[in-house]
Amino acid sequence: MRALSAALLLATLTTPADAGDTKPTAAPPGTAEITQRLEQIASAGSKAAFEVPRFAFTGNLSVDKPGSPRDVVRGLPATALADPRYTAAVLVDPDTAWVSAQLGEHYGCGECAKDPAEGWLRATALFERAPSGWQPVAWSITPPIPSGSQQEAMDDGIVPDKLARDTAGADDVASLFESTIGDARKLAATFSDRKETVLFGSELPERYAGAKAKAQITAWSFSFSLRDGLRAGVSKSGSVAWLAANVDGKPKGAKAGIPFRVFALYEKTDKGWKVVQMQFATSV
Amino acid sequence: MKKLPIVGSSKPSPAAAQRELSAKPVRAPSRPDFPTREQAYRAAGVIGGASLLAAGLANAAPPPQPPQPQAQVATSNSESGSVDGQPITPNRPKFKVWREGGGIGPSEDMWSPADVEAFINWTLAREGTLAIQRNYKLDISGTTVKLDGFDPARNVGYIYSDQMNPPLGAAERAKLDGWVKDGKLAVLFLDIRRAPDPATLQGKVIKFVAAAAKAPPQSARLPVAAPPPPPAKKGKK
Repeated sequence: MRALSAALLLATLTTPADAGDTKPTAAPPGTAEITQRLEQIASAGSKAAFEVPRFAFTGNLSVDKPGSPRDVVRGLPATALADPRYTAAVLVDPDTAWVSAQLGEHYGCGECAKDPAEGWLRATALFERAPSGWQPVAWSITPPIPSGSQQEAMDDGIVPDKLARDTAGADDVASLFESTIGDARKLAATFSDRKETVLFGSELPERYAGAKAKAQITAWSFSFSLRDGLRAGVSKSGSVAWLAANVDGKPKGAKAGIPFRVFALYEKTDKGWKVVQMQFATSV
Repeated sequence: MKKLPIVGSSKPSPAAAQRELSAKPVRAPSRPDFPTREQAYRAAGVIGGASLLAAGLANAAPPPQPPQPQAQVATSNSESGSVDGQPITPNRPKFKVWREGGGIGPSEDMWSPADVEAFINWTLAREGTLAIQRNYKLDISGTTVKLDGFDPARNVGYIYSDQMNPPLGAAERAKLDGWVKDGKLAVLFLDIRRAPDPATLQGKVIKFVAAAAKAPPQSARLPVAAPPPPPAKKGKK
């Protein structure tokens, strides 16, 4: 995200996942079931039943209009376990919740919690309570990608799958996003002051929570522009909006933009819509 | 003029009196006591035929290859996929990338291509529920094209290349591209130019599998390249 250099690649390979935020986040009471639901859905081995979300970034796939659960779980590990140190779940209202987690990937393990994770996924998901339990509305579950692979993808002209434009019900959020992404300071100003606010960059060490998230958006100083369509929607309660887009991020002085997929959750507050989750991902 | 002392045969010099300093004839060149880059590559199984040629070992007879069971086609009905007829294990194969080398020049990223291909085979079999056969040879209008993994029932496969495993030649690639364009098969080209990364490889495989599922290639069985004739034995007269 910050620089596509060999040095950063090396740093990615050697730095633990918590370089961006070293303080463990304790799960507030009542949110454990949200995290468990996320783990269940992200674990292929659980064969969990769930309602098809309206949008999903899963791994390298951008599933704009999912038709079946199979469409949105391709590539997910046999077992996904949330690292409690880097999990933040919030019940916004009795029927709406979001979760941000770093999921450990496990394959063929007995007691997976005791085994080291074989890989990591970062997950940002919006859930709604339904008669059948918590159901996903939209999510981004993507792996961190080293800068070397990102550079190779750019060399090969690989860009994220094109998204359609559909912001029905969330036009004000879409408009806010589009009017702020071009200026890092404006974008940072839309970030919430909540301590559960989380920003994921595209590489493993890049996780920033609370005030660090807002500060990091300014520190990156990227100027983003929309690449193609835009997807957005609002929870039934109207308290949380989700947004997904393909953007090109241009560092200061750079001639060409770097393609990213971005997924964000906005919370409705007295001061307007505020970003509570933002996740950047690379397409390879 | 002061005369310098002359060491005569009758009086041994102080150096000659020390046995450990006695000179021995050199019988062979000295060998480095640290692994060379070539040795490291060889240990990792990275050096292929081209490098052997470069090392002046081209006249060495290649080890006999086990016969390829590609004529016996496994169907891809297994729920979890298979590789060479064996259902894939729950454990995902792993590969490592490490920095090594030395001697003159900087160290390099190194990996075992066999381990990377095992990871790709497993991922492709799992995500596409494919019956992968390794080293499958197709006959495209008289040209033999080897795929590193291929499901002959679904006509889906891949070709892996990296610094030590060069990509397909232009003529073979053109013929293969023609078949892909005609919808006869789907091929994923994985060209590793830096270092392989599990998440990146998995991402590419999943995108490929999803695309192949949306627009599957035709199901007609493609011609298999005839196995090479056995080496002629020298007859005794």
